[in-house]
Amino acid sequence: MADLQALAEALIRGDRDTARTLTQQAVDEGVAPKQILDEGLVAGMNVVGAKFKANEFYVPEVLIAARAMHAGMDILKPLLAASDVQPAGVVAIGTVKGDLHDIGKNLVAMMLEGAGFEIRDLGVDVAPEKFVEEIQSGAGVVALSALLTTTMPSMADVINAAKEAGVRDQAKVMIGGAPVTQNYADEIGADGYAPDAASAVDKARELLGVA
Amino acid sequence: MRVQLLTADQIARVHEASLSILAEVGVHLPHPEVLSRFADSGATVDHDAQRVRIPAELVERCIASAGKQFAIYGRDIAKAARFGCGERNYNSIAGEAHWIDRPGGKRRPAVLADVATASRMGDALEHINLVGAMTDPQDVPPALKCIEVMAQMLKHTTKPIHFWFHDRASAKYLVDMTIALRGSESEAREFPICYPFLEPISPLRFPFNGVDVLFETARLNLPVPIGPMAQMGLSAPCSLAATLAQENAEILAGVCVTQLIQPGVPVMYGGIPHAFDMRTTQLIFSGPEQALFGVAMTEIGKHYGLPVYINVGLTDAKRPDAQAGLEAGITLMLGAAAGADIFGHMGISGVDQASSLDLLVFQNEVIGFVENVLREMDFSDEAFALDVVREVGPGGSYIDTDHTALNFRRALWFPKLLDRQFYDAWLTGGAESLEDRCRLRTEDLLATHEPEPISEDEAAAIDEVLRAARRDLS
Repeated sequence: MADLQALAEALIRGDRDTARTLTQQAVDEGVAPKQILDEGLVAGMNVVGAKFKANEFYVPEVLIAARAMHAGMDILKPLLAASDVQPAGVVAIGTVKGDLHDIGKNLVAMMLEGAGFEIRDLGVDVAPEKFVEEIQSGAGVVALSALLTTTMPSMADVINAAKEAGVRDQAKVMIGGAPVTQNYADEIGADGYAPDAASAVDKARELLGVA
Repeated sequence: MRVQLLTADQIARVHEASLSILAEVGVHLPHPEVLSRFADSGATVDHDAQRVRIPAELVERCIASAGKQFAIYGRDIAKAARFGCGERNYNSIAGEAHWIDRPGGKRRPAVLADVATASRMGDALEHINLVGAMTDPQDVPPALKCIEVMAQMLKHTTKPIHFWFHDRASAKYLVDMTIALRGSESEAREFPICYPFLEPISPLRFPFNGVDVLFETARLNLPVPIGPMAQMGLSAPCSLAATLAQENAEILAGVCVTQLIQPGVPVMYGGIPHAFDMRTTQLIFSGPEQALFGVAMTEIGKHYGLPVYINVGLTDAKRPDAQAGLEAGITLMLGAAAGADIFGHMGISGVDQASSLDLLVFQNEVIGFVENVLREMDFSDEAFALDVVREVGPGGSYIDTDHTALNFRRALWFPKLLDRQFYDAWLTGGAESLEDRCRLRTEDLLATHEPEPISEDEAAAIDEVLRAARRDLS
């Protein structure tokens, strides 16, 4: 008999191999994919989220739990009707033109992915047009990172490029990085700013109106 | 006083691990010209991937060829910061994007006018001998920023200066400005006033501009501090030893870069790895790990015979509070006692969150304390003052003797900010905290300190370069 409780616990431990095995086992035994998702994977991630908020879990534990969840999701995805499970949203993320710093950006991408967003990671030194293309191909959020004050202006370039292409209202733009502030976001007309990786997840959810 | 942490064997193992990283993993180096020089020198280069794997032999050769002593000089060349000769130097931060006017208040974008304020404050503080701009001004176009900053600094301090270089195009004007100030290229080479900072991006990458700038600064043979900020568990593996080894590999790769651009150019070993906070996703400026990193990196850098820069004396606190005292005091004490050449940067609120003059004034006091712990003790016959003991005898007092009157200023450190009053005097005097006194000293120095003015000729020479830069780079 499939043990969805054990699956949730594997997730909480960040045990990817067990999560994969137990998900496959449940599928093989005929448990409905939606039930595996809700009572196994999502139940486990909910505990992880609660523990993180209660200062019991730290970021690396959240990330390995998310990795375990993805191992299960890889199996469930093809089985779930497209209408059943949508990603929380599609986020195109990158470090802006001129800047090669991506450690913060990568961390935000990992946290968003762990929270169920589909991530299109564009890397570093990303030209404004590239972000525009992502909006045109369906990204709901464009997330821009910069570490240098000399490259911060590239964030405004992305917003302007989106306006010129007539797609500014098709995606939310959120920005972050050491020198970036809420004031700067307001100044350049970005939709959101997050000071750290965990709040970036909350901000993306807020911008897209997802729970 | 000297603290010691690593054994010779442990240093050798870090070195071996770093050489393995450089030979097997290599570094990402997006600069075609430097990649070609690596290839010509026997390294394995993948030009498409912009990746170079550096053999141990080349690393050792570059360490050997690097200059290991240098000095930079102020507008007043009598004011120098010397490296690699046993002196300790202290610098204010080269630049932060934000500025705090009052501790506990909001931060605002830093502007060019703040550079003058920061320069004046660095000029005033007795322990800061290398003055940082503290400001990465946001009201100046990026292409011109460092040139505008340098001009401001030269006008507002006579000490050597430190600020962030941007790219090769602007670096040309920084070199021109140095030549203009000194009067000739040979004088500018002999008395450099600032240095570029090469910051590898952990893990194992180099920024194009940081490398490209060195082709321009080579003209004056400017020394190059190399300081990656590997973050344990984020951009370096999650152990102290592994972080040391990767950080060391990144610095040594930087040494190779400098030597392939200009053999013999002096370098500084910037051993500035940090721990990483797994809750906030912020690096940690000054935990207990930082004390260990500071001492260990000093020992490794000194093993190569290089001047060493370490990140100690910092704090994660936002204001000069008890946390700041704990963190800055302990880490600076150990790092200074390990024998590094420069520490810092001073005057930062939190982890690169903003610059704060109050914190700078506070850290200046911490430096005074630490420097006085590290003084040489005198054990001469005279210092034992046996004749005074005979004279005063049992039950007497020393406070009114000539010996005390002649010696107390030497035997004691006189703090500028620490409270040592009797309780009631302290209470009736307003029960001031250290933070209050930091504020008062900051306000007092800002109101009263005027640096030696720059001569009209020097100002005109600088302004001419500035005008040329504004014309050519705008």
